[in-house]
Amino acid sequence: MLVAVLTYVGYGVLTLFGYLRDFLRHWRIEKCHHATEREEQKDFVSLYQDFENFYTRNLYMRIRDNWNRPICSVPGAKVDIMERQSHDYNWSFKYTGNIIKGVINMGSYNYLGFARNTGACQEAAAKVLEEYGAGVCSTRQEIGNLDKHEELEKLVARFLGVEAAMTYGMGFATNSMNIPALVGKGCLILSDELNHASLVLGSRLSGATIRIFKHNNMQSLEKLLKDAIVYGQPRTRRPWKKILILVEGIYSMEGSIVRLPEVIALKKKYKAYLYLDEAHSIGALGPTGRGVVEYFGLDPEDVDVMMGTFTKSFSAAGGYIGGKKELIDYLRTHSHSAVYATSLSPPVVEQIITSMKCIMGQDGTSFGKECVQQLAENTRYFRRRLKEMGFIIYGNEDSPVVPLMLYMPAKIGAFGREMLKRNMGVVVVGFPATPIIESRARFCLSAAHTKEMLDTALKEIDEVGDLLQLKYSRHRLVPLLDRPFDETTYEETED
Amino acid sequence: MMATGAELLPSGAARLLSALLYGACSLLLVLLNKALLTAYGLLRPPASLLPNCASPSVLGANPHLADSFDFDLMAATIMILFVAKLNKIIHFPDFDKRIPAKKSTVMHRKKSVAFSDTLPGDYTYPPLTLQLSPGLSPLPQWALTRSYECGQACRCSPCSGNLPFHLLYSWRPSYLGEFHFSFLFILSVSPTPALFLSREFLPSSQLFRKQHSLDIVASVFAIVLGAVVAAGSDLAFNLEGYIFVFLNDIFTAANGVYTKQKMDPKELGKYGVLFYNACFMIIPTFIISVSTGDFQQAGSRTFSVCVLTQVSADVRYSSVQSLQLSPHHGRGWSHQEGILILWIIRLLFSKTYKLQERSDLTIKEKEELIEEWQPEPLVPPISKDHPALNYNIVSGPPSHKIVVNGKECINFASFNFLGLLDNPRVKAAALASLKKYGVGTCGPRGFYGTFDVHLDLEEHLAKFMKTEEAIIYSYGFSTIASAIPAYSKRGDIIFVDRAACFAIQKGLQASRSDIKLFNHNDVADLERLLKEQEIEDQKNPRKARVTRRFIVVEGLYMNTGSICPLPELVKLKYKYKARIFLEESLSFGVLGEHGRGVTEHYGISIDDIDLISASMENSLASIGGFCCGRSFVIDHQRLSGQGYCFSASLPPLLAAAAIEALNIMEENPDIFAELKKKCQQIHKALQGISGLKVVGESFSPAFHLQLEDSTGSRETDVKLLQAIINECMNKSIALTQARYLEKEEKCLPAPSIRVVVTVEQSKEELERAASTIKEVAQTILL
Repeated sequence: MLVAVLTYVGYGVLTLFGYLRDFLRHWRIEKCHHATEREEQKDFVSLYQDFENFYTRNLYMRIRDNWNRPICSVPGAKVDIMERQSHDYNWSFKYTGNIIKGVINMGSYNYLGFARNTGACQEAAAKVLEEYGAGVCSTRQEIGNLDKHEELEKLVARFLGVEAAMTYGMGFATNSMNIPALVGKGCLILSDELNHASLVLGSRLSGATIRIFKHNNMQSLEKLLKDAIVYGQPRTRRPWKKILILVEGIYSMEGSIVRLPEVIALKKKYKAYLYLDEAHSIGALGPTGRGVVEYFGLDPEDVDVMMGTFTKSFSAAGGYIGGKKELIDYLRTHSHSAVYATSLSPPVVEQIITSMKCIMGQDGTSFGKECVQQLAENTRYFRRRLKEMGFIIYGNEDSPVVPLMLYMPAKIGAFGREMLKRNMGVVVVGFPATPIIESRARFCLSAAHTKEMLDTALKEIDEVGDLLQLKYSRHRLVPLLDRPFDETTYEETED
Repeated sequence: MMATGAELLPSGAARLLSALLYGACSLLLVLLNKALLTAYGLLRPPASLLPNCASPSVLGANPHLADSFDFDLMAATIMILFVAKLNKIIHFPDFDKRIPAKKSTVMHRKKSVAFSDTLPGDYTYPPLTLQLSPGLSPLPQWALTRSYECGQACRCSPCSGNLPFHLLYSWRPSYLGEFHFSFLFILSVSPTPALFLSREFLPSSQLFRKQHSLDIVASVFAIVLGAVVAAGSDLAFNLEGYIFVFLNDIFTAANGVYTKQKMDPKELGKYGVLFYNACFMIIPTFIISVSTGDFQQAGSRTFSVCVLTQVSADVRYSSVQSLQLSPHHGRGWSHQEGILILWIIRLLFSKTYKLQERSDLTIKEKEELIEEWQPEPLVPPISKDHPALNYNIVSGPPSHKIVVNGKECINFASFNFLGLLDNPRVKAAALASLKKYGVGTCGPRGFYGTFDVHLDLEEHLAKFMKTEEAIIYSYGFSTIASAIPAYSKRGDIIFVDRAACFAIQKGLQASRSDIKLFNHNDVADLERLLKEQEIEDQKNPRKARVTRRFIVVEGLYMNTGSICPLPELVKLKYKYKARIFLEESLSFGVLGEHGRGVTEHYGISIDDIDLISASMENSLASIGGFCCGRSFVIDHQRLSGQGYCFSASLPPLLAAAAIEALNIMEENPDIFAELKKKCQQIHKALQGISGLKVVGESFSPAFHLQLEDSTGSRETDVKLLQAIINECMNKSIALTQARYLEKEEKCLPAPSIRVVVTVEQSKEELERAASTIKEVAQTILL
C-alpha cells in the first residue's frame, strides 16, 4: 500500500517537473534537443499531439539509456555491450569505442542456449548460406517456396505432434497476418488481457468482435463464453459463427503459464476454438521442450491452432502455425503471409532445422535434452533464491521468465544502471508495457547460464536489492504472489 | 432537531409518526412522478453520466449545473417580488436590521437539521443521495432530481410559503426541452394534494386549524392510490433508491414541521420570507456557482433563462396564487384538483404500449442454448485442386538459374533485380556475420536485440538515401504496415491510391483512420478529394486543426507496374498541407541514376517526402524493410512502430548482407542503367502478342501480362494464364502469376502473369523469354 502511494508520488513529481521543463522549453529557457519540423511544413497539422510525447520527453528520456543497448557479440550467456555516453541527458548517445566485455546476459530470450557462433547449427547454417544466399526474393505462393521450407514444415509438424505445420518469416507477423485468415466478421475472439501486441493487432485486423478476459482467470473466460453463446451477437442477436480463444503459453511480462487444462476443458464444453501462442514456451517448457502442452501432459490435438516463434528457444527468426491438415491447407491458400510476404531466409531455416533436431535428439546426441533439463533446473534455482532474498517475483515457478517487482519509476533506471555497473545485463520495464505502478525488472534464464554465473548474478541482485530497498516481500504478502491464479479475486467484467 | 423541538410538540411519538407518514407520502409522490414520466416515455439513460455534454436535457440532469440556475431563479424571484411590492400588489415589511436576525434563526434551525437542504435550493440533496447510492443507475438521475423538486415544492408550500418560488424552480426550460408547460405544471403541482393528506394527520396542521371537505380528502386518496398502482407496475423500481428518497423525505418533512413552528409568518409575511430568503441565499448561491465553474458554463444561458422565468412567473402568478391561497378558499382548490385527477387518471389508463416483460433465462434454458449452438468449422474445407494449394517447389537457390519442380529454368519471377542474391561478396559478408553473431538475435531491439550491425545498416541506408535517419524492420511486409498506424490515428484522413499494395491496405486498416481512395495515378481525382476535404474543413475549422492528412502512394506499383506522378503529388502536398508517405519496395535500388528510387528519378528533393519506406527483400536480396526520412518523423517509430518494438530484431547476418549489397550498389551505379535497358528491351519485345497486353512502365523491372479480353470468369482467366506459365516452364522460362487474396483485396487487380527482369538475364535470354511467351500464348489463346 505504502509502496503504491510512493509510486504514485514518484510519478507525480516526475510529471510536475515534466510540465515545468516543458514550460521552460516553450520559452526557450531550457535547450530543446528534440528534432523539429521542417520550416516549410510548420503550418501543416502537427504530426504528433503534444501530450503524446510528454511521457517520452520527460519520463522515458531520463532513463533511456537502459534500453536499446547495442551489443556486439553473440547474445549468449555473456555478451559484449558497446559503451555509450550521453552529454545531453540521453537525448543523444555517443559511442566511446570501449566495449564492456563479458556482461552476464539475463535479457535475451536465449532459453535453450542455441545462440552461439560455433557448433553444429552454425556450421549447417553457414553451408546453406553459401549455397542459397541470404534472401529469397519471392513469396511462398509465387516462387519462394524452397525445398528447405518444406523440410522445415514437416519437421515442425513432427516436433509438435500435429498433422501439418506452416512457417512464416516473422513471429510478429505470424499472429498479425494469420488471425485475420481464421476469423472475421460475425466471429468472436476471447483474448487474455495481457496478450502480446501481435495478437491484439491480428484480432483487430480480422474485424471480429473482441472481448477481453482477466489474465488467466477461468471464471472470467467461462462467463464470457456462456454469455456469448446464450446472448449471441449484440444487436442482431444472431449466434456467433465461431469463437476463438487466444492465449499465450508463457506471458512475457508476467512470467505466468497459461492454465491450459482448464482452458481446454472450457473450450470443449463450449465448442470454442483455441489459439495458443507459444512464443516463449516452445522449447522452454516440458520435459522434452515441446512447450506448454507437454508441460501439462495434454494432447496437442486439443489445441486447434498451435502458434509459436523460432526467435527464442531456437535462436533464429520467424514463426509457425501447426494444427490439422485442413487448417494448414486453408492457411497455405489464405494466409496473408503466404501470398504477400517473403518467405524465411534459407540459413535461418537451417538453424531452426538443426536446433530442432538437436532438441528432438535426432542429431544422435543428448545435448538438446540436457539443455532443456538445465533450463528447468536453472529456473527453479534462480526463482527459489530470489524468493529467499525477499524480492517479490511474479509468475509460475517453472517459467524461465522471472519478473522482479521494482514498482517505483525512479528505481527502473537505478536498477538497470547499477546492474550494468556490475556487469549484468537485465531488462527493466515500466509503463506502458506494465501497469503504471508495477514497474519491474525481468530476467530470462538460459540453459547456457552456469551455476557460477547464476550465483554471481544473484549476489549482485542481492546487493543492488539492498541498495535500492527492493525487498518488498514481507511474509504476509507472499500469498499475493499467486494473485493471477486466485479465483476469489474475480470481479465481474464489463463487456 | 428532535430534541430541540420536543418541548414544543404534544408528544415525541406523534411527531415521529407524522414525520414517517409525511415521508411515506412524499415517496409515493416520487413514484407517481416516475410513473408519469415512464408513461410519457421520457425516461432516458442517465445523461448525467456524460459530463460536459451540452444537450438541453443534460443541463437539467447535471446536478452541478442546477446551482447556476438556482441563482438566476432567485434573482428572478427577487425581481418579481420587488416589482410587485413597488406596485403594491403584495405587502411585506421593508428591510431593516432585524430581518437578517429573524431569517438567520430560521436558517440556522434549518441548517441544524440538514445543512445541505438550506443551501442553494434543495439541489444539494439529490446529488448527495445519489452519491450515497452508486448502484442507483437504473433510476435515471434527473427523474429523481425532478421528483425531489416537486416533493420539496409542495412540502415547503404550507410551511414557508415557498411554493411559487419552488414552482419557478420547477419550471426549467432547460430541464426537458420538449416538455409542455401544462404537463410540467401538472407534474409540479399534482403532488400538492397528497401533501394535504399528510397534513391532515400532522400535528402541525393544527396551526392552520383548517377542516377540509370530504371530497378533497377522497380525491387525494385517489391520487395516492393511483401512485401506488403506478409504482407497482414500475419495472425500474429500485429499492435502494427509494429508500434514500424515503429517508430524505422524512428528514425534510421533520425539518419543515419544526421550522414552521419556530417561524412567525405573520411578522414577515409569506412573500417577505420568500423575498428575503432569496435575497440572502442568492449570495452564497452565486459564490458556489462561480466556484464550481457552472456559472461560466451556463453563463450564456443565464440571461435567457432569467427572462423566460420572469415571463413565465407573470403568466403563472395567478394560478400559483390561487393554489397557494386555496386552502383558505376550498372551492377553487377542489376545482383545480378535479382537473388534475382526471388528467392523471387519463394518463394512467391511456397507456398505449405494454412495457417489455423481462425475460431472464433460466439456467436450464441457457444450458439448452449452449447445447444447441453449433459453431462453423474453424476453416472451410479446401478442394484438393485449389490453384494456390500446391506450391511450386524450388530446389536449391532461387537465383538466376532456378530449379522449379525439378526443371531448371531461367528465373523471370523472383524480385532479385540486381542479382545480388548469389553475389559472392554478399554471401561472404553474411557468412562473416554468422560466424561472429550466430543466427538469431533472441530479443527485440529494446531488450538487447540491437546489434552494432543494425546501427551500421541504419546509418548506411540513411547515407545512401541522403536522409537524416533510417529505421530497419525485420520483415518487409510489416514495414509500411507498421509505419502508417504509427502516425495516422483515428480521426485522421489518409488519401490513398486504389491500386495500393496489400501491406499498405493492412497499415490503413490498423490505423483506423478515414480512408479516401482516389483512382489509380489520377491526380485530378486526388485533388477533387482534397478540395472536398477543404470545404469540409471550412465547416469545422476546429476539427480541421487537429486532423492530420496523409497521401500514401507507391513509387512503382506492385499491382500495376506503373510509376506514381510524384511531382504533381508534391505540389498538391504543399497546396493542401498533406504529408506524403511513399512506399518504394519496387523502385528502391531500381529507379534513378544511383538507385535511390522515384525521388531521384524525378529529381525531387527527398526532403519533400515525409516518409519513404521500402523492403530489403527485392533489390537488396536480403530480408526486412526500412523507413527513412527526417529524424523528426522517423524517430517516432522507435517507440510507436509496432513491428519494430514488439518483434525480434533482424538476424545480423541478413543485416550484414544488406550492408554489403548497399556497398555494391554504391560502387556500381551502372547497374541501374543496365537494368533499365533490359527492361525496355523485353518490354518492347513483348508488345503485340495477340490476346495478351503488357501493363506497366517500360522501365519497370516488374510488370504484368494481362489477358486482352477476359473470358468473363476470373477462374477461367487464372487457369488460362496458368496454362501459359506451365508451358513456359516446360520451355525453361520460370514465370509466376501475381497472387492475390481475392476476398481480402480492396480493389482486386485483374489476373496477370508477372514478369521480373534482372540484370543477370542476358540479351539472348530476354529475347528467348519474349519469343517463348509469345509462342505459347499464341497456341493457348488462339
